[in-house]
Amino acid sequence: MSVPVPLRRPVLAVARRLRLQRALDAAATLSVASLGLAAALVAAVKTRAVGPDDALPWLVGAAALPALGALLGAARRVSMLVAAQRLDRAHALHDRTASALSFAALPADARTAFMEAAIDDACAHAAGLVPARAFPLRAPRDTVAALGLALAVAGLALLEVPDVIVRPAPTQPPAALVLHADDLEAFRNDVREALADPALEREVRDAATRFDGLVGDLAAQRLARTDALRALQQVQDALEDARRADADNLRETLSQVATELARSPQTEPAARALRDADARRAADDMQRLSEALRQSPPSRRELDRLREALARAAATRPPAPSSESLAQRRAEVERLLQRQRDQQAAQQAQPEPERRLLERRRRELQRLEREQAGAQAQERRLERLQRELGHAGERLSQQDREQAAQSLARSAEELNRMARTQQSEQQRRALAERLSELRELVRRQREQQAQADASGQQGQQGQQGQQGQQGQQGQQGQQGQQGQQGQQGQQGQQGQQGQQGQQGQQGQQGQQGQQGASRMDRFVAQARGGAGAMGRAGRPGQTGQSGQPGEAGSSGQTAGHVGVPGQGGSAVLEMPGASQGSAQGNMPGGMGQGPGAGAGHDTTGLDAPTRLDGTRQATRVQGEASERGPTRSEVILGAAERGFAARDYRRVYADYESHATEVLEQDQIPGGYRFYVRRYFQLIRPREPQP
Amino acid sequence: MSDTKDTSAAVAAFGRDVATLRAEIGKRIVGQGPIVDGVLTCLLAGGHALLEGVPGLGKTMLVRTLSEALDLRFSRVQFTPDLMPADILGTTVIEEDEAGRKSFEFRPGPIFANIVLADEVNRATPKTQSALLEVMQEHSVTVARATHTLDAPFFVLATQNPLEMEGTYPLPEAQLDRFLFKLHVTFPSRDELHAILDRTTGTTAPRVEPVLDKARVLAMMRLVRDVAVARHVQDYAVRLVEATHPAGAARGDAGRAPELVQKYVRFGASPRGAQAVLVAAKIQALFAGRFSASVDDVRAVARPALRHRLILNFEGEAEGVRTDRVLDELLATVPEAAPSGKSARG
Repeated sequence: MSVPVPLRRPVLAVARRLRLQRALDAAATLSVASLGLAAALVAAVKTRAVGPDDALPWLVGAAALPALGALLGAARRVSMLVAAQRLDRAHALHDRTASALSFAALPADARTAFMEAAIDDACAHAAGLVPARAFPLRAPRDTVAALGLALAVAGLALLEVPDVIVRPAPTQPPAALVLHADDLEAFRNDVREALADPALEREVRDAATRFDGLVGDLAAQRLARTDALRALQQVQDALEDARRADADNLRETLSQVATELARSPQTEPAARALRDADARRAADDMQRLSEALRQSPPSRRELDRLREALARAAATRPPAPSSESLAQRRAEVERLLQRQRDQQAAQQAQPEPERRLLERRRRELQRLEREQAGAQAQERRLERLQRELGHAGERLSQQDREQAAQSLARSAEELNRMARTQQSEQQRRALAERLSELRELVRRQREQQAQADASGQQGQQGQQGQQGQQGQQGQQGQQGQQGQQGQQGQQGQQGQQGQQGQQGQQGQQGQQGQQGASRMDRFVAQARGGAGAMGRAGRPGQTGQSGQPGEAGSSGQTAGHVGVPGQGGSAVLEMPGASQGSAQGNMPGGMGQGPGAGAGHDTTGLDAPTRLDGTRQATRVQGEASERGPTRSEVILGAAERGFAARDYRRVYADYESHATEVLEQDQIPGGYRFYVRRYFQLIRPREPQP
Repeated sequence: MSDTKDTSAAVAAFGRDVATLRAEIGKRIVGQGPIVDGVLTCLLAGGHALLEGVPGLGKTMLVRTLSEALDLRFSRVQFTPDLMPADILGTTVIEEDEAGRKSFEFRPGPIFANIVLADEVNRATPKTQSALLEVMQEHSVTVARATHTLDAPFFVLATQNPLEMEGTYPLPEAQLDRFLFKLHVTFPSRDELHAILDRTTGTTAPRVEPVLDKARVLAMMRLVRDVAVARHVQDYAVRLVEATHPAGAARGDAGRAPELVQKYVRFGASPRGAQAVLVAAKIQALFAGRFSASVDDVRAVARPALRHRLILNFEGEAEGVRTDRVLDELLATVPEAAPSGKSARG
């Protein structure tokens, strides 16, 4: 655009001002972004999220942003027309300058006289034009924000950030795991029984000792659930480490040996014992056979059969040596471990999963080494047994009974050693089973507590239901007291009364917030024969006073039954005679304290009060002694003929328990139900009388 | 250079004549400066003016005074419902000469004048209004197949009363478009009212003398057309007119119109409106002694030139929105510089 000379100076001056202002505005705006970035970088450096060396290029880039913005702003084209309009507005020229620029841009022959006159008119006014008035420079728009951010960056730069010390949040120690003392006693008895076995191998003994310590800790309530589960896992690992990998192989080999030994009547008892996996009995039988050979020579035919059986037994070979498979497995693990070690050496920082895998393989290798050594020893033992059997057979063929007897005695010793290993393995398995039962018990206890917590939350909404629950727990607590009394006073119902004592303890546990009565609790209560006993609690629950132990026994046995689950999701024990307590317990019950008898009152269970104003007549009835009924001795004798408990409870228990165990091992029974059966027999096991 | 001097002299003479005319009108008309300038603008632009105001504000007096000051032929038509087109245009009658021969002769109506006052134009029937408005556009009358051209300058000043709407025939939008300006005659101020009373209630009435003849008026009208308009000023006028169209209907350019226009306006100004704005802006420049129209001139004439060209929609009518409000919004929102200039301005 050609600008008339008089207008050029002011118009260009305004245009320069416009450029400058735009450059300043752009610089200020980009300064805000730049300072924001700088603030973030400084903060990152201060908090050590970014290293100073890493932040430096970014800081330089941030510092260059405003200059870049200023350059871009200044480089943008400025319209002369806009500058002229600014001049016109500032000087009230009514577009004289802008129109003159517009007309001047036209070709000369295209301009009219009025256009020329307009240009002249504008030029005539140009002398008084002041560019600063047309466009006064002002502070950039984002100056305040930029200054604020600059101060913030300076403050951040001066700020000293101390090292972050992460203090763990104070946490309350988890509540101790509370298990039933009766259960713990059962576990402890089993573990100590295993520990009493001198044949127990060292690894199994160590694991059993740890198991015993764990049970002791649980009994003393020193462990929280998590700690208990962790300790259980450690004991289980220890038991697993003590597992004999060659046990099945040994049993199989001994079974084959037993098959061959069964060909002779002399070795048939030992063969039967071996087939029953009872190496100790087999050793005894073998020892007896050895003595028998020394003392009374068998017939020729018997000797031939014995020799043949021993020779065939000696020729028996295990299906597959365990040590070989273990060696293969060990070599494979060693190879994997070595490869992983090489990778570890190549990498500086090893990921956590890799590190765990390495540790697991290292442990597995150690276990395999141990198992391999054990398997080799077992195989040597088996070889010695077969060698002695073979030697005995050879001696018998040479009519050397004394040497044969000695070989049989040595084979008995080998069998004894095997028996100890076998016994130890059985104990290990039994302990492992006990351990899994304890773990299941802990798990179910957690579920019960969760149910109790859930029902407790619901129960807090209903005051009446809460009272009912308290009443029920009060009944249980008093059952304990009754149980104590019953044990002292009544010999005939000692077992049931003792279980009431346990129930009383359960009531105390309920005060610790574990009062949720689940199916398991009902089962336990029923298994303890406590249904009748709990029936007696109706009186205390109703009145808040202890009932008489003697009279409560009979009524409970006749009327006690298991209650129905409460509306709150927790099962409760419904007791006859405790109409108020149990009825209110069916309401959504909470975690009551259970200090005593229920204080609630269920009006729905009440009928109209007894009318005392009616007409009544007192009648007294009195029995008459006669000769028509049976005498007392006849009554007792008749009952005995129908079947009194004549056998010792221990024997009955052992029979039923072994049968149940056998069925559990043979039949397809769900694992959860197996637990119930085992728990049942655990709970009804015969106990030593309380002193 | 001589052209420039001549132009300057012509512009100066124009300014002087207008000032003389204003002064002469001012002898009788007190105040109402914008109305007088608006009427003069319409006269010099070759357009027509529609004066709207309550009775007694001096509308008729203004027109009569103008005609007296200009030494032009003046006629007044009082529009009534029974007014027929022939009453305005004229009619053909049978004439008998001395020899007794009869012939048809056209008797011109009151429209054949230089300045016509169509008083209360909205009281006539649409048929009569149409006859008037056709003449306003064509500057000629066709009766009995004979076309009669009106003498220049031809200037119609129509008045209408905004209050007494009963029994009236509001002018259709198409006919309103024929008026260059629609001027609102407002109530005088207290001082002006005192002056009016002083002048009109005494024994002497001010006498208005003709100060401009027809030839001078026509010369001034020609000079108006020579006024230069820069492209950016014309562009502003165009954008202003475009902005009167809701949703950019004029250019299919959605989003150009302000929200008020989109909400209340049914149709915007026609190109005739843009012509009116620009011509009137030129006259404004001449009034100010300038050789080119400015954006300010466009802004000054936008309201009277466009207010009767905006057609409100039902919502706008229902809410009593006045077109002046819409135009105020437009003048406030439409930027003076073109979008490119705006971006360059940063």
